[in-house]
Amino acid sequence: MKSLERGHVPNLATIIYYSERGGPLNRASPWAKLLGLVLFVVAATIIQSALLLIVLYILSVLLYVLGKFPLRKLVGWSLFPVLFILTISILFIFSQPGRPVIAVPGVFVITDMGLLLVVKLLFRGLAVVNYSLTFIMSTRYSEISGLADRLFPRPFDVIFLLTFRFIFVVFEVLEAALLAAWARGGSLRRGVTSTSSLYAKIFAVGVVYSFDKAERIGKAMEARGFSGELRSYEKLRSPSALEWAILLISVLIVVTAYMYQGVIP
Amino acid sequence: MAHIHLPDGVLPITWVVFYWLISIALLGIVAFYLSRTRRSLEVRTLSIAGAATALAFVIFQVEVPILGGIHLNFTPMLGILVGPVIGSVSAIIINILSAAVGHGGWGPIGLNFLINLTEIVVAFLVFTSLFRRRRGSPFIAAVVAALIALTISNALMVGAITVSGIQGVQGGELQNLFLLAAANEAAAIVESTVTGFLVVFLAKVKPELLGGGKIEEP
Repeated sequence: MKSLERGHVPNLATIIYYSERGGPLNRASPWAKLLGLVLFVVAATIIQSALLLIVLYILSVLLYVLGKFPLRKLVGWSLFPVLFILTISILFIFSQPGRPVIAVPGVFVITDMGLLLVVKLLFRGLAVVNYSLTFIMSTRYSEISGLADRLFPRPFDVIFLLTFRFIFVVFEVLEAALLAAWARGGSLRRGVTSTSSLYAKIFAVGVVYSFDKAERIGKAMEARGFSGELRSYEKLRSPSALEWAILLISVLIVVTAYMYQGVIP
Repeated sequence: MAHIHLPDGVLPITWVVFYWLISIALLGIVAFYLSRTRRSLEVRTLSIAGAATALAFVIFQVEVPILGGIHLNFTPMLGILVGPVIGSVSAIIINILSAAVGHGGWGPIGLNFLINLTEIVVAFLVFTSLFRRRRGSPFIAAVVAALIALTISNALMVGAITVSGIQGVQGGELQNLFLLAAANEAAAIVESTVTGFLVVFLAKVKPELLGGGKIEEP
C-alpha cells in the first residue's frame, strides 16, 4: 500500500500489525485505554496554559514510545494534523493583539499572542493525535470490534465492523488502479478537466468493484445464515486496580490543572 | 480539501458538547427509523453500507494532483450512492475512523459529522430532483448537487466556527474565515467536477447504483 500511504497517511495494515503484536500497552485493558482517550480529549480542550499543553504533548509522545511504536512514522503521520491546525490558526496569527514579535511595516505584524495561539493549538491537536494513534496501535482488532459491539447501537456496529473489513479490499483495488494510471503518466500535472476525469474513472472503478464485492459478500453471508447481526464474543478485560488508580490520578491532575491554570503560564 | 476536519482543542468544551448532543439526537432518529423500517435487517443493505463507507474513507486518503494536491470528501457522492439514511451512518463511522488516524479530532466529531451530513443530504436531494425526477444530464445534475452541497456545508462550517469561536482567538473571526471559505470553495469546484465525471461513468456502466439508497438488483 506504498502508493496510498505516501508517508503522511497512517496505513491501516501497519496499525493492525502493531496492534496484534504483544507490546507493553497491548496488554492494558481496552476500556482503560478508551477512558484515557476521553481524558486526553477533555484535557486538550479545557486546559489553557501553554506550559501544561506542552506537558500533555510530551506525555502523549512518551506513551507512544512506551508502546514501542516507530517514532519516524509518527513524524510523517503528524504532517496532516499539523496542516489542518495551521490552516485554521494561520488565519488569526496576524490579527491577535499583543506585543509585536515579527513585523514588516505596512505588511504584517505577528504578536506574541498570535504565536502563542498557534503553539497552543498545535500542542492541543497533536497531543490527542499521538494518543489516538497509540490507542489504535495497541488495541487488537478483536478488542476494537468488542468495543464497537458494546458501544454502538444496531446496525451502526455491524456497518462499522463491515467497513473495517472492506477498507483493506478497497485499498488494494484503488491502489492497483492508481499505480496502473501513474505507470502510464497519470501522476503528471495536467489540466483540471483531464486530471478530474482520470481520477473520477479511477474512483469509479473503486465504486463498481466495492459494490459488486458487497453484493457477493452479502449473498455469501446470507447463504451461511447471517441474519444481519454480528456479535463479538471477545471478553474485554476490565481495568485492573493499577489502571483505575492511574486513571483516577490523571483525572485529579486534569481537574487541578484546570482549576489552577491562572497560576501557570 | 473541500473542508477542514477540525482538530481537537479548536472549539471550546461547551460547543464540543453541544454539537455532540445534536449529532447523537440525529443519529438516534436514524437508528429508530432503521429499526422501524426493517432495512437494518437486510444483509445486502448492510454490506453495501460497509463497502460505501470504506470506499469514502479510502478515497479521502488519495491526493488528487490539482491546485497543489487536494483530498476529496466524497460525501456528496455518498449521498448520491446510498442516500441520507445509510449516508448518515457512514458519515459518523468515517469521522470516527478519521479521528482514530489523526484526520480530525474526537471532540469536534459532532460538528464534523453535522457538516458531512449536510453534504450528504443536500447532494442527495438536489441530485434526485435534477436527475432522477427530471431526467436531466447526469454530469450537470452531479456537479450542481455536489457544488451546492459543498457550498452550503462550507457556509455551515464558517458559521459554526464564528458562533462557537476558536479557543484563544481574540476578534477578527469572520473576516479571516472568509479566506478559508474561499480556499474551500476552490476545492469544492474540483470535487464537484470529479463527482460529475464519476456519475457520468457510473450512468454508463452501472446506472442501478445511482438510486440514492434504493439500489436495484442487477
